Amino acid sequence: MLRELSRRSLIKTLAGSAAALPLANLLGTTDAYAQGTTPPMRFIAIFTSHGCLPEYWNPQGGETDFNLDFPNSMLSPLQAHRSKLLVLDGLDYQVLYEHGLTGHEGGPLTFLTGSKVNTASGDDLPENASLDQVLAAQIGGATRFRSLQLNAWEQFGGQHVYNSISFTPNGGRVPFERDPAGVYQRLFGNAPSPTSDPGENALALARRRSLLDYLVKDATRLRNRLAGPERQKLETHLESLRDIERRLGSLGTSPTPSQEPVPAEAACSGGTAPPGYDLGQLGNLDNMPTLTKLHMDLIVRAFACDLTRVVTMTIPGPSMPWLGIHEDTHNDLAHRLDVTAEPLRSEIRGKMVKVQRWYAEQVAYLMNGLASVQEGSGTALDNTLILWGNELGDASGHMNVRVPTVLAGGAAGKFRMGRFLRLRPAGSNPLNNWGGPGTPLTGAVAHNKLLVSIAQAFGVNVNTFGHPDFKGPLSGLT
Amino acid sequence: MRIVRYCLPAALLLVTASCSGDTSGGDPPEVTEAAPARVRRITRAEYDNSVYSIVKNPTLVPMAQLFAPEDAILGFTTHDRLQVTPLLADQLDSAAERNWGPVAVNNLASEYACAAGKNEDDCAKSFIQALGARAFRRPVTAEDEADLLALWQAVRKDADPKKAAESVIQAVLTSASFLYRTELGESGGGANKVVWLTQQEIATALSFAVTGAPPDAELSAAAAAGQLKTADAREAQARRLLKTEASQRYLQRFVVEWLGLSGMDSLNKNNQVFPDFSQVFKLSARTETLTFINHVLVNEAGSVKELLSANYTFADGLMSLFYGTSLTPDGTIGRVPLPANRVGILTHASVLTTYALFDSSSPIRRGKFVLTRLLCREVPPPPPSVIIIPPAVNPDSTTRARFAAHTDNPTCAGCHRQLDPIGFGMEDYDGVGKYRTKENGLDVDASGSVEHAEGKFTFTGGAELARWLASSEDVADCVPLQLFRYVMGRDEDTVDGPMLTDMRSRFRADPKLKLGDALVGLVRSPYFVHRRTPSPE
Repeated sequence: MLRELSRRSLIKTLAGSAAALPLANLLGTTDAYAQGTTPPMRFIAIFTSHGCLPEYWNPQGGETDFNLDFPNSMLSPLQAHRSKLLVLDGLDYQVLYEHGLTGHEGGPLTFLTGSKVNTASGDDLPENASLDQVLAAQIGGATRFRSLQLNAWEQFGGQHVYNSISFTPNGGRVPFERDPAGVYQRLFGNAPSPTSDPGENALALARRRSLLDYLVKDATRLRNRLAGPERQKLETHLESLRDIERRLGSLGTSPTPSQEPVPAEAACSGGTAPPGYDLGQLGNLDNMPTLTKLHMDLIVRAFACDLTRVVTMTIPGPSMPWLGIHEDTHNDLAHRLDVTAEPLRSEIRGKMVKVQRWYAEQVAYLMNGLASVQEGSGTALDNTLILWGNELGDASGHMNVRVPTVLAGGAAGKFRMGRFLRLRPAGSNPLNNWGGPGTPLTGAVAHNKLLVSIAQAFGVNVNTFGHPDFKGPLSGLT
Repeated sequence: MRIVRYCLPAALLLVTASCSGDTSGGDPPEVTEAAPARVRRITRAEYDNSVYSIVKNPTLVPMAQLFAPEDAILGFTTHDRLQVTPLLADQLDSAAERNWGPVAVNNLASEYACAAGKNEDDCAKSFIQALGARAFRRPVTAEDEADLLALWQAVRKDADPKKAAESVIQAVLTSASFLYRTELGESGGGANKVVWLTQQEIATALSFAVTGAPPDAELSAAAAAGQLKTADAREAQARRLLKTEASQRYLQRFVVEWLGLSGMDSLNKNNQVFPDFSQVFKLSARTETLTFINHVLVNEAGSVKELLSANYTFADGLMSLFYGTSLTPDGTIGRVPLPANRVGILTHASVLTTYALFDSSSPIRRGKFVLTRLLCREVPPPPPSVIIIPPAVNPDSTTRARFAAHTDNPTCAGCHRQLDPIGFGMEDYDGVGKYRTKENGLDVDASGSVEHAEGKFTFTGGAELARWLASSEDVADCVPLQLFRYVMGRDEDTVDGPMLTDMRSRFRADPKLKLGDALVGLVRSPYFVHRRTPSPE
């Protein structure tokens, strides 16, 4: 038993405890460890829609010798990163089947919450916070922004249900930013000008502190008059004030993106602001590819400067004119994948491959960006866990089983990457013997287990995430 | 069914426990049950409506539209789950520091100016009192004053009074006391009791319910004089405020969100199928609908009957040609008659385009729209065991024929028996709302039916449906409920029964079905001015 305790698992076991760092030194770890500056572990959740064609989405081959380079492979843009992928086949949104609603609204809602759909408000909301918010509370406090919520292009308008994957503890939707210039301004724009007088800067800081003192007192007074969910609103408010308070005095920095890996300190200097887009331009679908890349560049910059460690990002795609796809991706492609008449069938499926490849290209772009930031003996990508999820499995039937899910990045060694994992037997379908809403979905692999595994990897001590029915982590990841 | 129990005459009070209640807030409550006490974060529009008057700016600057948008619950962005998330906190902070603070400190110079010989702290206190009362929608408490004075003094150590005033303004404009309107009653009233809202809270609730803006001077004065306890006084204030532009803007937002038209700007259509569709068309159609709504609110007293049954619209040249009606003399937007195949807002191109698909009309979306938004019926989502594949566009068939499969499939029939016949009856409009009698060379069958409380109405074409809806009892019952959800920011609950009854009876008393009458019914209700205080956890 003792012999099996590898260095990595020993560090992992001790991670978070005071003993971890000295012991890491004894075991001869990297420079970063030796200097006592363990690179921080980060989390990015990416949500795309429309489900997939499993035969083109899944890799070919076995667990470790899997291959993404074959005709119609949807993940082929990630081939270069295959050593940092953990492709999961057979993950199910079980909670939706056993506890109420499934379908479109259920997918984005449960993706990061593991919750059932609660309709008590008159709308579809979860019953607990999403994973990003839980991780933000756990690890985000060391950075200027506990988390960022980004959206490349807002579908339907009005912060529609379909765009929201991040939720507060009371099930409220966390609003997202869709303007890269706004994100940049928030991340980097409040730094004092290099030419400003240090004395005046110090006074301005003191004024800000006094102001925040008042804001906290005022909000606390109101909170103390409330109970239950009303009190929770003011708790959220106070946390937001504490975020501002924590940032006071920490110097702002502006980053420079680089093609070659550069040390994080170097990656986090200089840099230019993204171009400004007005509301009409932000709503123009033609701009979506550019907006996606600008957001991803900002994620890389924010990580390089350690401004945040938790990000969620939604990338929709009602149609993709830049790929020559002018029809409604969802209704005209995704839901018609099982059309049988040729040549329509091949045409629809070919376009679906293009759509999914485009999404995979975006994930690859983000991974390339993170790999360009050097940290210790590795890169920011090595210390990042990307969870790329979807709202549907087989798109033609609105199914929330076998939901295409990819873990990407080095995950700071918490998970064994470079694998294709079948979570349940190939060809199995828990819907075959399902008795209908509210009855057990026998043979399913609840995605709640994945949320537990990720939470645990980030040091959150939980054994369930979201609905309490589903216990324990997902086996086979570590 | 009425839960309300008005207080008995004074002689009986001694033996009527429910009326004795807590009297620290003054009068005994008028009802024995009430909705829970709560706080509501103001919306972005409410922020804009508030700030400019707080800082005495001559004009409203719609700055908050750049803040994090509200999400929608039940279709409305005014719901009571809104919070100050980290993103919004940053945006509020930034707007106060960069925009409103520097503007306000100039606007308000005379309020913090301190004449020679006067004690500066006294001057600061009166500034804080005046500013705070405007922002907090209540008198400034001793604690508020002490904390804001401490901020003034801390800044004043190293800066001039102007800087201190600017810091106080920034603080007030980002404070919880400003950002949340309270529905709590007097503090210290005891736990889990039905209490009156304070006079200032009533004034605030009333003003936001009618205008989406804080109380004006007249309403605040009525609150200060304790005059808002009677239903008649509240009605008089509401009727006065209904005439304001703020109220018209607020009710226009209601109509847009009620009819689900917020997403008009991001609609996209297949140009091969709909050559009429373009950015210009989208803008023209949107402008038409907004202009028409505004006309109904301003010139037709907010009559829902007019909204749903008008035989005219406000079209520019493009829309006039699209509808096949006369043009205004110069082709710019103006009032034109609608052709016989269109009636009211439901037959506007903007509405019909919204409830359609990328390359065809959608009987299902149109049916669901009528059922949920106009008839307040709930439509459950498809059961998870059903495979949903919208039928492919077929050049040899009609939309109706393609979609008929839903109604024929027994698993789907339960819901689609209600949904589809409504949408089928609107098949005389295509996916961008163009009137048609043929589709793919085949005759359009626009016969439809809608089930209602009294039975079933059969009709042919969207115009006949719109005409029926405009005089439907079910719609007249539904609109006050939608307005309730918009104004109260939540779904109805058992305790709201009497209040909704009041709204409906006022709304229906006049055949014009005026939104303002429903609001009067709301603010007159005793349930509007009482809350149950929270229980300690």
